[in-house]
Amino acid sequence: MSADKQINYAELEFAGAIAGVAKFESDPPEGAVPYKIAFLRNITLDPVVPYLEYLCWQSNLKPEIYMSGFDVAMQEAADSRSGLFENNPDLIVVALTLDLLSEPISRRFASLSGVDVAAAADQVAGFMVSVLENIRKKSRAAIIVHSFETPAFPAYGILDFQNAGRQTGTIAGLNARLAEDASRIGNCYILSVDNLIARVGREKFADPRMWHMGKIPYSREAWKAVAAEYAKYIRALRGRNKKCLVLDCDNTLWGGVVGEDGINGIRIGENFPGSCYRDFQLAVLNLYHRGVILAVCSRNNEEDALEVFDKHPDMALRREHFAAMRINWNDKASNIKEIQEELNIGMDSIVFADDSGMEVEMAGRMLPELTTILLPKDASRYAETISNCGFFDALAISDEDRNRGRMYRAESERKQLSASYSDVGEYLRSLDIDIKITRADSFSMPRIAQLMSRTNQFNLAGKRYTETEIAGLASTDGCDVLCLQYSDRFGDMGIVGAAVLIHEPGVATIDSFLLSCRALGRRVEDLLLAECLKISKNKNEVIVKGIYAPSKKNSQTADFYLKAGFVKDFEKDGNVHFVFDTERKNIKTPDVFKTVAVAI
Amino acid sequence: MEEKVKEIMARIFEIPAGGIGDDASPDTIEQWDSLHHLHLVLALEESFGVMFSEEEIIEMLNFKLVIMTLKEKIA
Repeated sequence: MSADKQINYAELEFAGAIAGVAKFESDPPEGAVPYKIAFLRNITLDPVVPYLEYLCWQSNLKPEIYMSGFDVAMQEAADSRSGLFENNPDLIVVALTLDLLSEPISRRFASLSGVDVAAAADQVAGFMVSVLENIRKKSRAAIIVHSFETPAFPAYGILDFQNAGRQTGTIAGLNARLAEDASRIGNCYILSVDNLIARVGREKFADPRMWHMGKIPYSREAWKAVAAEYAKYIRALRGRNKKCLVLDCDNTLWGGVVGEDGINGIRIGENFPGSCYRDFQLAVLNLYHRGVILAVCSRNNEEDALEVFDKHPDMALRREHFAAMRINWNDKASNIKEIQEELNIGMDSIVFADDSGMEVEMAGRMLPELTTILLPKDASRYAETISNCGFFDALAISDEDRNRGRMYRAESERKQLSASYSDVGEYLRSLDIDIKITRADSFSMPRIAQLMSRTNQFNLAGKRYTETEIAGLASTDGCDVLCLQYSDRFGDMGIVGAAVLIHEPGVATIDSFLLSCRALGRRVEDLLLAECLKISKNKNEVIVKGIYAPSKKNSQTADFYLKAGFVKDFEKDGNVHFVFDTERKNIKTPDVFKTVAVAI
Repeated sequence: MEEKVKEIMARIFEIPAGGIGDDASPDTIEQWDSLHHLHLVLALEESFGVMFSEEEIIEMLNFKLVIMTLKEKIA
């Protein structure tokens, strides 16, 4: 993983100068990972390609793009040998415009009776379900479906909005059905074209000339926005969304310099210009409640800044919202490095936002894996800059995400406590840790999938299954998907560990084994491994195999199996294979927990 | 302007930059089909910051006409 870049629209312009099928001159970065995208479409989408390629390269991806035939969605979706499935795509984009799916709904609406409308809508909805189900039957690829545009000039004019059964309401209803289908089909997500139009402006979005001449529905301006939107989905699908936002204070969280203007002189509140900063804080607060960890890194006297967080009546962000703070006169790169270490997350999971171009550039140069956001000149644009960056966009949200901020605060309290103990075991026992180990069920599967996509440091085999794949494994005979829940007297962390165990006669294989970095250093990993070994032993499986797939980040787990009594078997393709003999070796179970409930 | 247009055409039609002569047209360039023509129009619009009408798009069907139409636009 590497730093992501803010979209540079000037560079996109350049890409667009040769929009079309031509490749522009820049090349994918070295070591870019192939990513296969297949489009199923009834519009000419080709102009999006150069923009999409450009943005993929920035995320270190090398896109391989397949365009389906024009307006043959069902034929391609229904045929397992069609080009759509040929290269086993990672992502399938379904971009079907209602204009060509249903002339009655899109262009003859006023001529339809109520019965006609219902029949036409059912026909479209049925077609879409069938296309999506056909894709899912043949492919596990993530699917992005373009929603249908509501008309700028509805068939009934202003009367259209007075009744939900008119054109606008009918199309909104189709979109609602599409969203339901998507969630039922799984790993299938809606891209709201209406939302993109709202952002870009319809006048700039559509290009009627190109639509009529070549079924190119959108303008150059629009293709940029569409490509940027795809990039957000791809980032989220690959678990590359960022986890932490580090913020400057002066002229970022509030207007002015608190050290000079004083707490009463800074701009923050309901009126301009303070309202710009307050809206920015509220946008950041939304991120906090979506599970983004917040931190402060600013050059101030600590007491000046803290006084603002604690006492200023108009602050939306308070000290409690921040998991780490570095308010001092040291350079920002060192401070961000310290924040990263304190939070125990990767530098490539962090975004740093500041109003100073120099600070942003320095931090970015010193910490190449850090993603930076330079806030625009006008503070009134701050909120949309952070909301539109897409770095934090995810396609699911769990209760844990909602509580993450609180959990990180609890963690810093735990750390303070640990400083007062000299013996680790004694400290861990003082935490009153309760552990539950269960089989994955429909409640835990989304969290396990999320854990797999996010966990790098303690992920032994490095596999990343989707929720659908986990459900498949859990329902397979001879396969156990286990998950571990952690709580202690500071709070509930929820599911922090998971393991996939595959049983064969006499042999078990630990297919996946991972633990959230938040739960490291509490011997939870030893407990989960011991449970895996016990399950295998009870099934008279003499040999338990474990695989360590080295990655850039998981070196701390290289000798995990050895420490637990495994012996090295062999190395292949860079992976190290270990075995454990359940007849000869003792299974070591740590005894630092208050309760351990195993319900398997 | 001529050189820039040739460069854009070369990329759109995926042929070497020197391969576009003053007589270039759909008859001399195999890839110059209706879809590629629209791609060319979009690229010219982006590069020169102009917007062509439907009539102009239909008419500018060889290199010389492209240059002529573009000059009228910019003037």
